[in-house]
Amino acid sequence: MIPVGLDGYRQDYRLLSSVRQGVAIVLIAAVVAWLPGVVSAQTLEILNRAAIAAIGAIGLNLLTGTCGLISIGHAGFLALGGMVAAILSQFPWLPFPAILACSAIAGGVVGIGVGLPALRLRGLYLVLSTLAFYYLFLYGVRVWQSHLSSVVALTGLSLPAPDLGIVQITSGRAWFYLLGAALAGVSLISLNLLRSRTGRAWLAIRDHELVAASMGIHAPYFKLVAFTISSAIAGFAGALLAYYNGTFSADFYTIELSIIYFAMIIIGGLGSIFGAILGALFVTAIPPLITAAVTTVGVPSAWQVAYVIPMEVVLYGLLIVLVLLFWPGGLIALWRRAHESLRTWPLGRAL
Amino acid sequence: MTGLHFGKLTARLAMGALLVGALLMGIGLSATPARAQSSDVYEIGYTADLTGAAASTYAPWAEGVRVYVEQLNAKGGINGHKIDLVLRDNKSDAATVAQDARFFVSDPKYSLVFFSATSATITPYLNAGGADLPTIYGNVCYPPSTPPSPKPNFFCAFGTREMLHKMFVDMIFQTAKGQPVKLGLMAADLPGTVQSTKIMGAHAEQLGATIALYQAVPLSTTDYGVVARQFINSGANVILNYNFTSQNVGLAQALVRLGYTGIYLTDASLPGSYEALARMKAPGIYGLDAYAPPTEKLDVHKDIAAAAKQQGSRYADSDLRVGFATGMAMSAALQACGFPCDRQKLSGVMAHLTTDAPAFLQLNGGPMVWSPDNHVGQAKSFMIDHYDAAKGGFAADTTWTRIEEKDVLTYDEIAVH
Amino acid sequence: MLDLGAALSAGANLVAIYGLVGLGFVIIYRASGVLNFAHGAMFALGGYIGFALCEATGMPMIAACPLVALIGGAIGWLFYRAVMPTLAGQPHWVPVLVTCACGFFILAGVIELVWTPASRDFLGELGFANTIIRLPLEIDLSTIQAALLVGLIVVELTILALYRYTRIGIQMKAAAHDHHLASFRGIDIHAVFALAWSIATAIAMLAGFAYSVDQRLDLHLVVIAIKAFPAAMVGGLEAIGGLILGALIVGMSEAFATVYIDPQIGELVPFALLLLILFTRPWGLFGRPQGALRV
Repeated sequence: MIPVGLDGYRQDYRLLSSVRQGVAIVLIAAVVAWLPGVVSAQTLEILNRAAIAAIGAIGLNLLTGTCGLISIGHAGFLALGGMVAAILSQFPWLPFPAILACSAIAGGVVGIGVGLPALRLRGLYLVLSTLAFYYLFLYGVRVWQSHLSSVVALTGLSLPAPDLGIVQITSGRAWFYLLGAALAGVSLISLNLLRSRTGRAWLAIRDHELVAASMGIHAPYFKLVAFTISSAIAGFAGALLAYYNGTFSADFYTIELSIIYFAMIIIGGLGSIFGAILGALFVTAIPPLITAAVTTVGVPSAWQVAYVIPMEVVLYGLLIVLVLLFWPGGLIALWRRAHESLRTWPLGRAL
Repeated sequence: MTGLHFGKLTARLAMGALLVGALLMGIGLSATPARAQSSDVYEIGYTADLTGAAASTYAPWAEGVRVYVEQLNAKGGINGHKIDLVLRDNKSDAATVAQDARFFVSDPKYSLVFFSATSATITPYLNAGGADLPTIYGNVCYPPSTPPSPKPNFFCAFGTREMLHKMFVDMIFQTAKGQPVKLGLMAADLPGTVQSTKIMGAHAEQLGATIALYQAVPLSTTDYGVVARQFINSGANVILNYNFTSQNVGLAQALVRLGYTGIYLTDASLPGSYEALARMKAPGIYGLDAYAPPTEKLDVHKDIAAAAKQQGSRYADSDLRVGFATGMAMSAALQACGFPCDRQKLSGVMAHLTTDAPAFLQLNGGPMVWSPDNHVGQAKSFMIDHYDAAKGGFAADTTWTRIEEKDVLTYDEIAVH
Repeated sequence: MLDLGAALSAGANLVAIYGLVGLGFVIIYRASGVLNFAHGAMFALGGYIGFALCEATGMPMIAACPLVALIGGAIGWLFYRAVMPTLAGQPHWVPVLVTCACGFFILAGVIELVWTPASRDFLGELGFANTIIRLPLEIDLSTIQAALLVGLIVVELTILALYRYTRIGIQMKAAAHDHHLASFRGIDIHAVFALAWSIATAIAMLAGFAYSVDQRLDLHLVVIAIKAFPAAMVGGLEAIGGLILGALIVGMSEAFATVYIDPQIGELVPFALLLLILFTRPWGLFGRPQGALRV
């Protein structure tokens, strides 16, 4: 969206482009806050999961969408955050926010470790190095988990409900507000990053690294910052996920999970925070929607087990591929076109 | 340029329609209030790992329950009412398990749910409300179904790990027939199986065996031949491999091909195992079977074969045994509960349930007795399957061996290095 | 000595598998500049399609092989025609995600749909025999494993000859090197690329068929094929000649680690080698530095 009547640098990096936008955001926030009262428990579950996924997706988006560094090792960082949270949650004297912070820091530190050697690599070579890191890291987690007590090895490390002192987060509703606050916080941090010198450096590196370097942007430094911050956010999301599941086990962090996060940011639209949120919501909501549609239609049970249920996986993959083939701009592109056409209605030709 | 093009506008319209449709569906479905039980059928849910990592075990399990239920319905149902089995795929994924749990819990018409997935999904299931609904766990019995204080609504019909371990350890010495045991142990490189295998090894060591070789083998290992070679080279005369079907069978095949002359112990009751082991016709292979093998040709086996044929199943009959047994436990519960049967009533019934229908006794080797502090049955009987052409194939070596809950050693009592 | 024999046998098997699957990666990369993450699923699909053919018609394995290769070629050709031209001009990560989604979701889902998630068993269910050949140094290879090794060398030499001596091969090289210039010269780029994809997929499916008869048939085959990435990278994604060396290094290292340390470490060796080569010499042992910068 190109603002009309640009009058200076200050306007360009303002967080809200107009008072109207601010009011709109407040209204939307009010609607969102009202939601838990009206939607069913299942929808609330989907929204909570989507919020956690959105946090992780925003992290990945900073790395891949804004800075252009493709990573399919994201599930490894989620596992790292979950593992740290699971270990630290065994100490009841550690406050919950501190545990989340530790998970984020752990993510950041390992992110530096992954990013440093990978600074020279580009494109597909970077993808492969993140794939290798994922396998190596998950191996370590599995070995660690098998040395724990036998019950834990089987059912995973249990995490208690988050305790914020004044309130314990046990109901879906409480989780909704906690996750909403976390998502808002991470979005704000990311938006600020994008408006800052770091964000601009990332965009420059993504679009043309050579030119960026010749303009004085120290590419390796900013790439490392991208890795660090993205993995810190992923560690944070991983901790929230482990708390939400109530358990941590290496089985949950499959390579398919990495692919799903990648799909989220692409379906949402690369490079956009709001796009990451939309993509996370879309990808999280699709499997239950397909299941609900199938259940509503009603199919003979023999067919269901043999044909319909495996079909859901195929449909899911097909949807991702179709969006990529015909809509590479993602949902955010759709949103912007809709916005533009409304703005220029009835004479606009945006759609 | 060649390639399949649908036209950009058509594609966009299609995608837009899809999105709008999905949105409407979502809004519609979430706004629909849960329907109360107005029909005259039992509503039973089933959440199983049908397409995830361990689907090769749990999909046939669910199929067994499904075939059993369909056959039951064909004969009029229970207490004169049919059963509506609602199947959902949880992919062994925490998020999907939680969604399925909420789906069933939030709709009061569901009085019972079957739950089949890897052990790591138990906690997410319970946290999402699964604890509020009578649940039969379709897997080896793990905590929280195990004594001494199981979760109130969580039941299990297969037997605990401790019982299985004791049976395996007994089998090691039985099959060795007095020879000194040099034990080879293989574990899938997953935390649970590594633990199980190490514990069985430690127990066997305490009873006089020596461990020739222990190997933790990844699920995606390329060549079982090298694993088999290692075991043969180590001089092991008894190899124990209790893991997933593809590993149990894969190592067995490699050992047979390389001319291993010792004893190989594995599981024959998990889906897929029995058929594969039977086909190998190898004299050294012994399978621990939680259910009567098809060679016994009991009435229940004929029932299973008939049901599979009538209801259409893509799995072998022997794969359906475990689902049938689990389904029979459900039958006993619903029978005792009557109609209509709500969750509280069913919960109370299941806490004092004895499953001892004749077909179940044939298949399971003994009754299954649940009590308020024991949701896994106080004992489990096992058979040892062994290839014997005279007995018709991979048949029971002797009769049932009964392992009582009170006789098994807990893990604290076995020192693990 | 016993251990050395075990390690060499396992290594030979791994070299053959990684070489054949890696060959497919290299051919596709040279042709379209795409890392085909769906290749692993093609490997698995070869086994399943072969199984279906043999189960339905009762034909022996030898007869099924050319059919599986033909079907593989057709599937590769179709996949290219349906998907790749639409992706032309898009950023390089788009084909990554498309092939990932196709392999891990669509193909895996279709396999489960048609054949159920249960493990299948060629030897048992279809009665194929697979005897052991004993070689010096205590190496044991099954007939199929030996055939795979021979097949790897034969296929590699054939492809090299194809690229060097045949007209279509030269066209493929030209199109891979600079597709604009090649199309100006009148080479049908899409036909040539489709041919590359179909050759690669045919090889992968044939290898998958042979592997599943020799070992087992289930969805883990997808992951096994992913381990062939390191073999392709070590040799150099641009260089078909380097592939055998890459497969040798990765396969033997994994086998020796499995035997002399333990199988879990052995599983990690390919990925550790991948990281090593990426951090020291990303263009592989036989590639050229320009290749690494092309992306």
